[in-house]
Amino acid sequence: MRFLILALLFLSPAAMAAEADQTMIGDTEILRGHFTEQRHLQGFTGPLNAQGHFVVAPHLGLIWAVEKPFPTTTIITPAGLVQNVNGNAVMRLPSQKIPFMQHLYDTLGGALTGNWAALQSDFTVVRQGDAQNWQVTLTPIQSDNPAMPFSVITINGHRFVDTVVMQKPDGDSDNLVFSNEMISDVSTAAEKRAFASVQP
Amino acid sequence: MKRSAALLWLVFVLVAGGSLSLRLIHGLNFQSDLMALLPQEEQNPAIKRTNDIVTQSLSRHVVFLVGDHDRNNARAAAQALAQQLNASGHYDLPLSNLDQNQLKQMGAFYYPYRAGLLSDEDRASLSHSNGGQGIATRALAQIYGGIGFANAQLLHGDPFLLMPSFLTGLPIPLSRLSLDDGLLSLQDQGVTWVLVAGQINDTAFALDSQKKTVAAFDNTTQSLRATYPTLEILHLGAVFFAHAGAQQAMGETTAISIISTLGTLLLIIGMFRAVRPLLLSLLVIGVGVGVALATSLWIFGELHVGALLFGISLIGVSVDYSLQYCSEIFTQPIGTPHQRLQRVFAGITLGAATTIIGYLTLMLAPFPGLHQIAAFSAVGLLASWLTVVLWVPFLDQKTIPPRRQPLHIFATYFLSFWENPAYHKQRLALLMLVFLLGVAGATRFHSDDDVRRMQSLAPNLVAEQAEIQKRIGTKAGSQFFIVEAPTDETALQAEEQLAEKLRPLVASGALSGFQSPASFIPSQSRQDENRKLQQTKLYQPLLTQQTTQLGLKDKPETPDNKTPYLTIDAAQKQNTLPAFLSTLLINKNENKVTHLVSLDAVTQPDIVAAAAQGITGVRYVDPAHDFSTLLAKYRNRALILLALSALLMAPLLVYRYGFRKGLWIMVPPLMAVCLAPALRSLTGSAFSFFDAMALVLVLSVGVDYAVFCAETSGPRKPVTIFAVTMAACTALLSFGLLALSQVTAVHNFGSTMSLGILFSYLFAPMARWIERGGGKKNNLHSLIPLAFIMLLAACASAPTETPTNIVPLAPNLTLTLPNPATLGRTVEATQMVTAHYGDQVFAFEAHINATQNHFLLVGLDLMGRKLMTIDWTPNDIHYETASWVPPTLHPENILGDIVLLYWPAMIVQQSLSGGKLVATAHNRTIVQDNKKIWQADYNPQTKNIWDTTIVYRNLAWGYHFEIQSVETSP
Repeated sequence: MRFLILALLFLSPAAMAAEADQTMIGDTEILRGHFTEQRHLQGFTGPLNAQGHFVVAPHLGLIWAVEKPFPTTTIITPAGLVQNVNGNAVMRLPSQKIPFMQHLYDTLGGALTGNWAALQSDFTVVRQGDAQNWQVTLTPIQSDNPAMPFSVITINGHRFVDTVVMQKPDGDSDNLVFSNEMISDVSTAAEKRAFASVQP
Repeated sequence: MKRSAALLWLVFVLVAGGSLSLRLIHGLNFQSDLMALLPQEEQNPAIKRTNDIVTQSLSRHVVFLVGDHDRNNARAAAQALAQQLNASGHYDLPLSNLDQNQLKQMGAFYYPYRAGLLSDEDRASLSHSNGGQGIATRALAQIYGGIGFANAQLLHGDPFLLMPSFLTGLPIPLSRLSLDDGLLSLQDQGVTWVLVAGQINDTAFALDSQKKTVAAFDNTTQSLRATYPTLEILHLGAVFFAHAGAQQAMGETTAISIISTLGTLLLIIGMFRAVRPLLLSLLVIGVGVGVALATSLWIFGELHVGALLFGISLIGVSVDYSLQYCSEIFTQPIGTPHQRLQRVFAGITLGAATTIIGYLTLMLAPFPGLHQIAAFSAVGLLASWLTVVLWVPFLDQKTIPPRRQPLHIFATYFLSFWENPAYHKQRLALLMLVFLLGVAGATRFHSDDDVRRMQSLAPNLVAEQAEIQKRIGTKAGSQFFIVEAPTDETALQAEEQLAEKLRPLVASGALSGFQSPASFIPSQSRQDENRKLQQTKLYQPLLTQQTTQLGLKDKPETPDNKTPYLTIDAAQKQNTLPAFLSTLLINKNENKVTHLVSLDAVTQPDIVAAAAQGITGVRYVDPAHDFSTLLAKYRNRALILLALSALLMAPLLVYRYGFRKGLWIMVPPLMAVCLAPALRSLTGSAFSFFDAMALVLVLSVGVDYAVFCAETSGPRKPVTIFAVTMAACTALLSFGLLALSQVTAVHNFGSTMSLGILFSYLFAPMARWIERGGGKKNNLHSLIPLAFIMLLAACASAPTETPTNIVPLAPNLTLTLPNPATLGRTVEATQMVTAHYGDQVFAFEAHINATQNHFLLVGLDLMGRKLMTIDWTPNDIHYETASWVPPTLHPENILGDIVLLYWPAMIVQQSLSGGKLVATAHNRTIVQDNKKIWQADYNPQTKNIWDTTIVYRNLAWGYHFEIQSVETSP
């Protein structure tokens, strides 16, 4: 589940690297940034490119907004998940309908408080490097879990996450590069509206 | 009373027999042309007629290669072959089609028109700015290189040697042959092969003339081989294939009918320990067939041999009635013959009535052949029934019951399996097993009517065909274009447009070559262009220089525009052009001309077909494909007839048994009708028209068995089951053996028939489960209709679950996926697809990569998970879907929709069956029975449909999609 991984990564990279009880952003802070995504699919010559921005707020949720090639927005909050394409909500899932949602929050909450049990129940975690330049590889323990269709996930970062490479068992891969990451403690009206649009 | 009725029937039969004998004295003529069995094409008789003319003319072509180590022997034998075959009156083989003299004449014929004639290559080079110089240099090279085309006179008239280039560029087929002293020959490993080619005089498909034509060839070759012992003769032609096919079918039929007759004889004599039941059965069938024949000849005037054969097998069902009667001898007390008849009377009457209804339903089909079969078999069955009812008791004097047979014991066990409460669990298990097999088969259900797979071609002829084609270096295809236009000129222009599109396809290997009238006679507008090109690119800039370099004394004249144009009429008057040009000119009258463009070795029919797109009056014809489509249409009709005959039989059964029991009796035969094709699918077999026809018969036979079982009671029960067992055995002997046939059509018919009869027999005792008036005997019966409906539902939904190249778009509307290459371009695109099913919305990303022979679509959900992969190549299509794909989303529908949206309209139109595409620049609509089924709207501003938003709706299935597409690599 891509978004679980992403949310997790944003909220606890330093913790992962250092295996310490530190967290990257405070409970009421907000992290914003840009991303570019290169998707490599079997049978296609070049990578498929996408780009957009994201917002992560531990107390509110995650907004993942693709701008190109198609504007789509995914909003995840404790209440559930909403996806918008062209202003239409094309998917709306309350969290009780998606078992992984509960799992997501357990894992997230755990990672934020330095509790690794939840993450390590899904992945074998290998850390390398130091707090300024670290790499983490996650290998799913259960190889055929449809909710975690990855063979290995490699994350590089310093203070924030720089790149994420998600390898899939069929040879496809997703490369994410993050930039312009900034922390603030005020959410905009639009973000509040977006988070509020997810109804339980 | 009984006696007078029997006498009356005797009089009638004698009258029928008399009229039949009169007919026989005058000679009975059976129609054997297979085409006559098929209905007239409803849509456009003009198109059908043209197609027929062309197909007929192509099917008459024959090619012989006569080879010998001794050149003189080969030549003498070839000439003798042509002479003797021509003398037989069945062949028209012009031997010296193209002698040296004629080649010269051909040059002389074209020469006056040379100003307007250019070979394709020369035209292409002259269209380039500096192309003239190349042609001038080529002429000099030819002259100084001493190739020897030229003499001073020719050079004076054609200083750039355009004529030799034009003549050698003519698409004369048989490319590996050369002219050797007046005969087209080739040398291969010391053997001289001489070509003899021409036409046969009669149609290739009529059994009678076919036989004579082939016999003439066989006799001639035999005598030639006696004269020249080392002679080899290769032959090729539709007539030889057709004859071999007919021979094979007849040989098989003879073997099958001998085995089945012997088997039936042994079975009946063995079981009754008497000859009389056999004689009675033969009498019953004989009277049926005789009366049917006399009546049908009286109604139709003549009868098709196919209707005769099929009709006789349908009348064969009447053996069931005589068996029912004869088996009554085993019932205690046996009673008088008339009492025995009385006991079975209701059963056989009802059985005959339902079967006659079943056969008469065939009357409703628009098949001339089916009408004959329906009338023939219904009359015959009626006559057989009358014979059983009126005559048989008088002819049967037997009063002592014979000893019972092991089959009786079997019948008793078989009955108790269905009736004894102790076997309830086993029955349930059997029904469950059968149901599961049925469901498993239903999910694999698919249909295939490709006529090319329906016939089995004689392997030795196929090998000879390959050898001839290899030697003479050509491979004629069965496909062609028909060009229809108001005048020869417009037709030629259309052919030139077509040639522009075909030439790149020849280069890419989609076909190996083509011949059109325009390749021999350019249109006047093309001749105008050629004149202009010659003048502006050659004569004006280069003539002075060319004259000097050639060393000509007088400067040749620049051709002017005053010379007349070359026309088809002029060419036909001269009679110097290759004979096959005239085979390309199909028809001409005041307001329409019809030309043919013949094609060689088409490997990618879809792409070649698309070449006609946008050219007025040009049509691609693929007779085998068209015939397959026709068969598919008839398959659907046969299924409708099947449903209709079931509906028509029901009232009769309801009248006799009441509503509940009447309908219940239909259940065992309908189960057989559903299970037989399902089990055939389980083995991977496709459902064809011939299977559908078998099901019509299965229903009739199945209802008979069920009625016999329902009618019996008390001590008669095991006897009735015994008679039904005998009936099923004889039916299996006569139809089951057809399953062994090499001919796919016959094999399909036989296999479905055998399974259907087996199931009809197996389930027939279930007909007794409901008593008249509604009391029930067995609680299982309520489950069966439910299971049956589920099975039907599985059958109905099956095609969407099977990876086939036929995509359902709506009820009765399907798309046959074309070759992916017919997209005609390569594309890489990323799409956001929003699907609306009622209130439900679902979005996913589609990534498309289309190259010439490979179409790949990967669908990802917005979480980035792979939803589906569609991997499509000319030979295979592969769908992969994730388990979390919403059940409403079918990858084959998505692919179908993509083809409808993005493929050339012409290809889409050809691939649709059951609807019509209306395409404009901004939208595409599929109309079925004047109702809009599917509609797509394109953004009117866009030029590239891969780089815009499209909204399309499927009105039949109530969904709409919005596709935002971005082309990622232009």
